[in-house]
Amino acid sequence: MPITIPKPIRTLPKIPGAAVIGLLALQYVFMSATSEPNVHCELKIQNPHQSTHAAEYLGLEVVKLKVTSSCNRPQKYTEITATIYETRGGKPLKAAQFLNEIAVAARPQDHDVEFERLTAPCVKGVKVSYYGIANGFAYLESGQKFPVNGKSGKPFPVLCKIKAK
Amino acid sequence: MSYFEECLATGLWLTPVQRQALYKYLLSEKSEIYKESALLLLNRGSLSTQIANAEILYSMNQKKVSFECRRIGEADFSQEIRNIELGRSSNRNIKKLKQFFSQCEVDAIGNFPVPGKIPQDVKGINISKFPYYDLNYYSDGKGRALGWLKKIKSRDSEILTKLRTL
Repeated sequence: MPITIPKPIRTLPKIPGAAVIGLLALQYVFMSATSEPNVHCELKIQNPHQSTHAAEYLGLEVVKLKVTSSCNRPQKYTEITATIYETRGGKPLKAAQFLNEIAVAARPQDHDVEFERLTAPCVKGVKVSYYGIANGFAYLESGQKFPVNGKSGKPFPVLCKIKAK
Repeated sequence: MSYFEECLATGLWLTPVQRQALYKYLLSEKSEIYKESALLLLNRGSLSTQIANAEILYSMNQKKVSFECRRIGEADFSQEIRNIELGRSSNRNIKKLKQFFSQCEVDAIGNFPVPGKIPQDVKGINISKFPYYDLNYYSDGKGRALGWLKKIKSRDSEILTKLRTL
């Protein structure tokens, strides 16, 4: 009895080899254009502190969180959400939050931008320990989007308690 | 010195409530000037204005209007700070541009105040992502529907009254 080998049913269209090579080459070109090597951005976050500037010139009691976004390439802008936490009994409590804040480069070749208006009104005379965190993205002139995040460090004592909203 | 002039010199220390009140104040007080500026921009394709210690440049590329800014006397303008897309309706475009001008002027005042007693030198131009004319401003980016609900519940601040009277 003759053995009949069933003919395979082709379910997928055959992709020509040249097209595969072309697509790989295109992917390589695209990847090398969008993920430039050695690009780096970071957030430098100072300890939340009472602003002497605001007290001296405006008579305002505020706790300020200063954040700097630094890249090793020119950036267009950085967008962050920042939070000041107070620690009470070792537990963190959200004291103030700043959503969707943007710092745009003031000049075309600037690598750094500073966030200077992350401030919260406070009541002087009450000692509270604060720390700050921030996260977001830096947008470079080259078109790249770079994730950034950071923390100020250990809780830092400040003689001013942020007012509840 | 009027309260408005005080705000022009406060810069980065303006509170979010003060900035929003300034937006509403400028939008109503400069309505006619903004209309003329909108027509000029639509005809010429670019427009330069000044407020506080800032020089503002608006430029139009097809239907997109961009806003850049620099301290008066400085050589370079900033990166693009904001932009809006215009539509087909001329009246609607003028309304949109008026809101855009008011927002951009508040951004400019906040970053380049009139030089005065408060020293301010910052690397970068600080703004909020959502402009006041966007309902997302009221919902912190959680959608226009929620923003609309929050907007109708909101009231004008006392600062707006102060701006109009003092």
